[in-house]
This record gives sequence, C-alpha cells and structure tokens, in this order.
Amino acid sequence: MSKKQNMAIDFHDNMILLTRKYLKRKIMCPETKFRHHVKERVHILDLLKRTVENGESNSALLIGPRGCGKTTLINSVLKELSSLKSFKDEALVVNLHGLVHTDDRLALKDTTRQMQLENAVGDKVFGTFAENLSFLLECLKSGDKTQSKPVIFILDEFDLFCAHRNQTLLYNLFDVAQSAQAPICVLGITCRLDVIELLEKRVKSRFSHRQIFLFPGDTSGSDQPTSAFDDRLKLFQHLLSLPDDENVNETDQQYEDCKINPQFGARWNEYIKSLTENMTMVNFLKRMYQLDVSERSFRNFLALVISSLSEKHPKLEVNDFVEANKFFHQDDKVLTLQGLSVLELCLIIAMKHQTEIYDDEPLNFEMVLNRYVKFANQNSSIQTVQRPVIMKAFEHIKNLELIQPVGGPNTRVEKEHQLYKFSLGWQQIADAVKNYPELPTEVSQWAVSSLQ
Amino acid sequence: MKKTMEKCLKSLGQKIICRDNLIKCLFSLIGFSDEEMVQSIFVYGHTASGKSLVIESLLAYLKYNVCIINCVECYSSKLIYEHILNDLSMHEMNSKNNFTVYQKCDNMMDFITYLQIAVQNDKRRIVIVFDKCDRLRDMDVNLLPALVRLRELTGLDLCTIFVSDIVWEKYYSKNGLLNPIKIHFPQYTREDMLKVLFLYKPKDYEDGFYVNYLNLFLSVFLRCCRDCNELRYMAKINFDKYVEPVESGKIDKNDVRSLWRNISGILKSNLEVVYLRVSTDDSEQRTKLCQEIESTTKLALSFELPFYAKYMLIAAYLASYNPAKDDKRLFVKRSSKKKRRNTVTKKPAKLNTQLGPKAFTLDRMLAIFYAILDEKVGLTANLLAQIPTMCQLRLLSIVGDNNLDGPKYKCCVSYDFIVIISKTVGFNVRNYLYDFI
Ligand SMILES: Nc1ncnc2c1ncn2[C@@H]1O[C@H](COP(=O)(O)OP(=O)(O)OP(=O)(O)O)[C@@H](O)[C@H]1O
Ligand SMILES: Nc1ncnc2c1ncn2[C@@H]1O[C@H](COP(=O)(O)OP(=O)(O)O)[C@@H](O)[C@H]1O
Ligand SMILES: [Mg+2]
Ligand SMILES: [Mg+2]
Repeated sequence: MSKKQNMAIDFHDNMILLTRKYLKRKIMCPETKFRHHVKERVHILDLLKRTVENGESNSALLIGPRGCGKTTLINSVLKELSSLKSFKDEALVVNLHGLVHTDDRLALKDTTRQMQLENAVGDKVFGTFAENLSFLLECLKSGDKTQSKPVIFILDEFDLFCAHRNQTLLYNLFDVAQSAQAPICVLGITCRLDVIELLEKRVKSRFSHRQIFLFPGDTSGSDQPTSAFDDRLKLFQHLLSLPDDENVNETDQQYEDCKINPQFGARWNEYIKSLTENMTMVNFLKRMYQLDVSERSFRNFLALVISSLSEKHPKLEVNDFVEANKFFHQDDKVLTLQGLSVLELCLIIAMKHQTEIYDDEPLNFEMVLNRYVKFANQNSSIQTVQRPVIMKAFEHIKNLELIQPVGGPNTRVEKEHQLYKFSLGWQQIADAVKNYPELPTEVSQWAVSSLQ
Repeated sequence: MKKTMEKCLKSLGQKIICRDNLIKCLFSLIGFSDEEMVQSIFVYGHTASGKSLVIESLLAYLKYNVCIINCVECYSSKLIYEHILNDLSMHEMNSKNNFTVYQKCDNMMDFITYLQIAVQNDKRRIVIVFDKCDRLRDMDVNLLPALVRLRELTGLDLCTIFVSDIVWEKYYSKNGLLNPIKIHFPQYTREDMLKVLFLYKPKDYEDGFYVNYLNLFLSVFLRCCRDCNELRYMAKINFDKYVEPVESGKIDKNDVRSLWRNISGILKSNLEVVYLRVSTDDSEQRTKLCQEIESTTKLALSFELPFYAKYMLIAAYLASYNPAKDDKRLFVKRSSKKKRRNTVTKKPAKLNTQLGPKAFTLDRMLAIFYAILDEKVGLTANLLAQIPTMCQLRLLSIVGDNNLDGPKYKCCVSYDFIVIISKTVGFNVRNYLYDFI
C-alpha cells in the first residue's frame, strides 16, 4: 500500500484491523515463546543435547493432559537447538505422529524419507524390521567417523504406537537406544498417564523409564511463583496487549511488519490492564478457568473474542467475552431441542415422562405414542395427527441421536418396538421449553407437570 | 480489491437472508486474508438451516482453494483423500486422463505428503469442508482426530470445517479429540421461515396473496415439521391446489376466508400423505409409510376378510400380546368373577401392547380362536388354509423357520387396526387384552 492510500484510510479504523491481525497472530501462533515448566524444558533440552553433542542414547516420555503445551515445548526446544552449529551439521530429527503413522510399515517408510535415504534403500528387501532400521542408521555413518549421525525420534501421540502389532517399532527404537548401537534419542509425547502400562514387557524393559510430567498451571519453576489463576490472568493480559512505547523493543522479529501506532498501543494496553482489575471480568475468567484449564481452549476463546473487533466495534467489552464463551459452554442439545417442531418437542416430553415413570428403562415408539396421544386427547387445542406423521417425528429425533438404540443391530424388531435409551435431563428440556418461541401453553404445562 | 466484511455481507445478502450474524461470525474467523485462520470449525444445526448455503457462498466469495466433501458420497477414507487431492490440485477427472485421480492414496501419511506437494506452488489459503461429517465416525479411527488437527500435521495455512446436524458431544472418542470452535445455526423462527419460503414465490402472483397463503400453510405444517427443504416443497405443491378456485373463477382472490375454507382440509390431509411421501429419500421407507397410513384407516375397513379370518386375526393378535400363562384365566369360560390383584406396584407394569408382538404357536392361536368364537365349529383345515394368504398380506409373519414344534407366528397389525377389525365382527377386543384387565 502506498503512503497516500494509507493516509486516506481513517487512522482509527485501520488501527483496529492491525490490532486484530497482531493479536490473532500472537494468540494463535504457538512458536511464540514457551512459558513456564522451566525444569521440564531444561530436562528435555539437556537430554537432546547429550545425544547430539556426546553421542549418548536416551529415551523419555513427556506426559501431560491435552492442550497443556507438550508439542509446543518440544518445538521450542528443537528451535533452540537448531541454532547450535553442531546440531545443524550433525543431527537429524525424525517426526512421527500416532494419528499419521498408523502402522510400523508407514512409520519406517516415513523415517526413510525424513532421513533422505530413499535412494540408498532403493529396492532392497530386508528380512526384519530391525535389519531395516539398522541399515538406515548405518547409512548415517559418514566417511571417516565410526559413529553415525545422532538421530532424534519424536513420537507424538505415543500411546497410539503401542497399539501397533507387536510394538515392533517401539521395541526396535528402544532396543537401539538401550544398547547404544547408534546415538539416538527417542522422545514420546502422550496425554495418557498410564502409558507405561501399555508397553509390552520386552519393550518396557528396554525403556529408560524416564517420564517427564507436564501439568497445566504449574508455575513453580518460574521466576516468581504465582497461583495458577493469577498466571492465567497474566497470560490474558499478555496475549491481549499491543506493542507500545515501553515494550516496542522486545517484540519479536516476526512482528516486524507491525505498524501499530505506539500511542494507540499504550492506550489499548491501559484498557486491557483495567479489564484485569474489573471484578466482573476477573470472576468470569475464574469461572472459566475452573471449568477448563487447557491453554489451547483459552487461546481459542481469545481468538473468538478478538474476532468480534471491527471498525464499528473497536473496543472489547466484558460482554464480548461472555458472548464468546457461549460458543464453548452453551448446551448444544438444548439448542437442538429448540429447533424441533412442536410435535417433536411433545414427543421428547413424552419420552421424559416415560423414562421417569419407569426408572430410566428403555422406551419404544409405541410407549411414547401412547403417552403423547393421551396428552393430545386431553387438550382439545392440540391438533392430532396420524400415527405415521408421529412416527416420522420420532425418526427425526432418532436421527439426531437424542435417543440411542439399545441392543445390537442384528436383533430384528419392527421399528415401532425397537427400544431406545433416553438420556436428556429435565433441566435441558425445561430450558428448551422456556426459550421455545410461541409454544402452546398446554405443552409447557405438560413439560413442567411431573407425572402425567 | 480488498474483501471487507461489509462487501461480503452485501454480496451474499442478495441470496441469503436472516443469516447476517452467522456470515459475520464465519467471516471474522477465516475471512481476513492477512489474519491467521482458526484450525478447525464445527458447524451444526438442523437440516436446511442454511449451513451449506452459507459456507459454500462465503468460500466462493473468498476465492480460497476450497474442497467441499459430502461424507455420504465419499464413504471411505481413501475416497476422501483422493477427492481432496483432486480438488486442491485443481485436477479434473475427464475422458482425456481416462478418469484417473490426481494421486492414488489410501493412508493419512501419504495424504499429508501428497497434499504438501500438491499445493506448494499455490499461494491461496486452503479450506476443506466435510459436510454430513457424522459419517467420518464410521471410517478409520484416526481419520476424524487427524482431520481436526490437519493444520498442525501438515504445517499448511489450512482450516477444516465440519458440518453436521448432530451435536459435537457425539463425536468424542476414547482417545480424545481436539475441540474445534463450534458454531450453531439456529432453526428459523416462524417469521424467518416465512421470509425464506417467500423467496420461492411463483412469478405470477402478488406478494400479499402469497404471504396470505404461506401464513395458512405454516399454520398447518409448522407444528409437525420445521425443515425448510420439506416446507418449501410442500408449499409449492399445495399452492397449486390453493389457486385452483381462483384460476377457475370460483373464488375471488381477495376472499381469504373462502380460500382458507377451501384449502384447510386439503392441507391437513396432505400433511399426512404428501408430507410423508416426499419427505424421505429412501423409497423403501416411503412405500412402507404409505402402507402404514392406509393400513390403519382405509384398509382396515375395506379389507374384505372372511368373517372367520377376521376372528383368526383377532386370535393371533391376542396370542401375540397376551402372556401365554394367562390364557386360561382369560378364555376358559369366564365364570369366576375377576379377582382384583392387590399387589401394590410402585411403577405401573409395562403394557404388553407397547412392547411388540411375541411369537406364538398355531395350536395356541387355534385354542384362543375357539375360545373367543364360542361356536362349536370344526374349521381347522379351512382356517389353516388362510394362513399363507394372511402372511402375504403381512397380517402375520413367520418367525424362525425350523422350530422343532412347528412354525411360530407373530401378528403384525397394530392396536388401532385390530380394534376396527373387531368392531366389524361385533367383538370387543379390549375385554380380552391382558393390558386392559
Ligand atoms: N507453556 C506454554 N507456553 C506457551 N504456549 C503454550 C504453553 N502451554 C500451552 N501453550 C499453547 O497451548 C496450545 C496447545 O499446545 P500444544 O499443541 O503444545 O498442546 P499438546 O499438549 O501437544 O496437546 P495435545 O495433547 O492435544 O497434542 C498451543 O497453541 C500453545 O501455544
Ligand atoms: N437463509 C436462507 N436464505 C435463502 N435460502 C435459504 C436460507 N436458508 C435455507 N435456504 C434454502 O434452503 C436450502 C437448504 O439449505 P442448506 O444450506 O442446504 O441447508 P443445510 O446445509 O443446513 O442442511 C438452501 O439451498 C436454500 O435454498
Ligand atoms: Mg500435541
Ligand atoms: Mg447441507
């Protein structure tokens, strides 16, 4: 954009677009600095360094719940290592992922590709997996050296590799690592705390049993330990802040193109700071934190909030946060119920009465129909319709999976007698009834009357 | 030209109504070309709430590199991989290339590699839409979890959108899934629905006239069905009937009252016949539904079953829905007065009539038949000859062919049906049904 055009655009409008862009990048790009868990990070960094610099072999597992930053930690460690000269020249990283490399054949094929040894392998046929792997490692020995290049194996979603036949890949990798045939480091990432139990005995015995745990909210390793929630609040402020006069120097190079006016930034940051002191806001964030500690969800949430910014709406209000939170914590089933037709909603209510009277026993179409017809007959204002129309409404409810068939598909019963489990709660139904536009009063009364 | 949200709204607004907020929401997540897109989005809402319409129009407007997949058509992971690769590499299958795919591919690993190669010289952003994505659950177990984090796995500037009418909860698997951002398409309110249906007004009629019609139409149909696709179709069919008296000059087009009197009956009966007929794509189910309608009302009355055959059907019904151990009590000369059972049960026992028919033997049915007929006639041979016919008419069905003690049967008619049949022979079936005693 030329300077002239730039001037033509209203200063403030343009700032909002730049702000959106800047903040979204900050929130959604994980390559930004890894925070906390200093001890764990150093542990892994050290392990990899020993493999790369001293040719040691190692194996370890990094364990932590979903979205707590395991992958981010490894990536930040690899990024730091890649600036080391010895690493760049010597080491190789092989990235494997449980969701992608669904069997050992694929894993080995990709390992070969990532080591750029496809040509060396050619159409060679190997007797065993072990032979193939050691051939690959052998190939990495360069000229004069007797030692081969150090290789770092990263196995993301490690637990999925445990389901591969005979755990061949794991056995061989751990075996090489334990017997130090070649300098390799095998690093598994998983969210299953019981992952060790998944290993077969012969595999387990070759694993170093080095387990590194990553727990969200653990800030003990940072400069000033704070409570987990205070840390969340700090992250909130950090992620929503713009570069201003004070911190303009420390912004990463990746934000070079950021042309946010420092005065605007300072004002913006002032406002964000005031949000972190606003009691409504703080309580709201606290409640959110109590429901979900995962940093990934929190970042997704902030990304949604930022998305509500526009020229017409240039400031984040507390309400924007509340609205964005609805995307995560609203009850999807209630929303689905609200979109049903009156007839379908009546069937849902009939189902609820039926399950309540019969202590959660499964129900079928006939029972629901019977209950509905009774209700319709008692209320002259409810138009009655023929059975097949009701059947169709019932099938719609089934297709939405609001009820689950009981018994396997091979039990052959007529569809009106097929039994279903009904699992919606009273509260969900009551919420849907309350918000349903223009629902006949008889129906809402029927819904609240406990036994009909 | 820069694509701003306002321009987009204006452009899409020409054909999409009542969805401005959702368009804005989606646009702000993936529409700003210099901002990061979110990794994955889950869009859900009832059928015909405009999900596909909004997403497809928005993506067409944004001119990204887009692939839209219908997971019913692409029913295996292989088909999905190959379809995506075709679309994103802009490969067209035609007679020139002998209808070959861009790249054969049957696993996630190759898919990711090929995908990276296919788009390496294309700077456009990538969006992949999985419509009817509930089907993904039935394919390879790694498929859905991997697609949800496809950006992380490929390192491409890519967003996956999942579209479904089933809530996200139903997608959880035991290995855990990454949660996409959920966007809900609410069902249209009555006013919105009217506006949407109005878009499809036939050319030759005045606005007010059609709005009147739609109001009458919705007052009958909306209670049973809020599916915009079906309503649109039904509105069209019934409109022909609505304007018939106007065209022929019988009713003035401004005489709303007479028009209503004329159409209300038609609408109500069409709700029951036409609505069901068009509604399902599955023709087998469709015929079955029609059979059902006819069977409960007209068929039952017009069935020219012989007198004794009607009794036999009743006997079969009773055999199917009464517990065998109570036959004695019910049918052996009802001399002793019914004793009220004094068992106090907290929850009422379930009705046999609601649980579905149980199988019975011919002997038992014949015993009941003679008990309820109360005539000493030796009809067994003639009666047995009726059985194949009754099976063909689907009044009875055989269960299990090779029973040691002869074949067993089930009665396939409903309670309503049997009540009507009983009336025609002057029999009160309720008096003999265990459920009602
Ligand atoms: N300590 C941290 N420092 C910086 N960012 C973090 C940290 N913890 C989590 N995140 C952020 O949270 C998000 C999720 O992190 P990541 O993908 O590494 O999780 P994960 O543990 O690998 O989850 P999963 O088990 O689902 O793969 C990323 O966007 C990342 O930026
Ligand atoms: N808001 C709307 N504006 C215009 N037409 C609509 C609207 N909503 C639905 N329709 C009509 O209904 C049809 C079905 O919508 P569709 O997007 O296929 O629904 P879904 O994908 O949610 O099942 C559309 O093709 C369109 O003709
Ligand atoms: Mg991860
Ligand atoms: Mg659709």
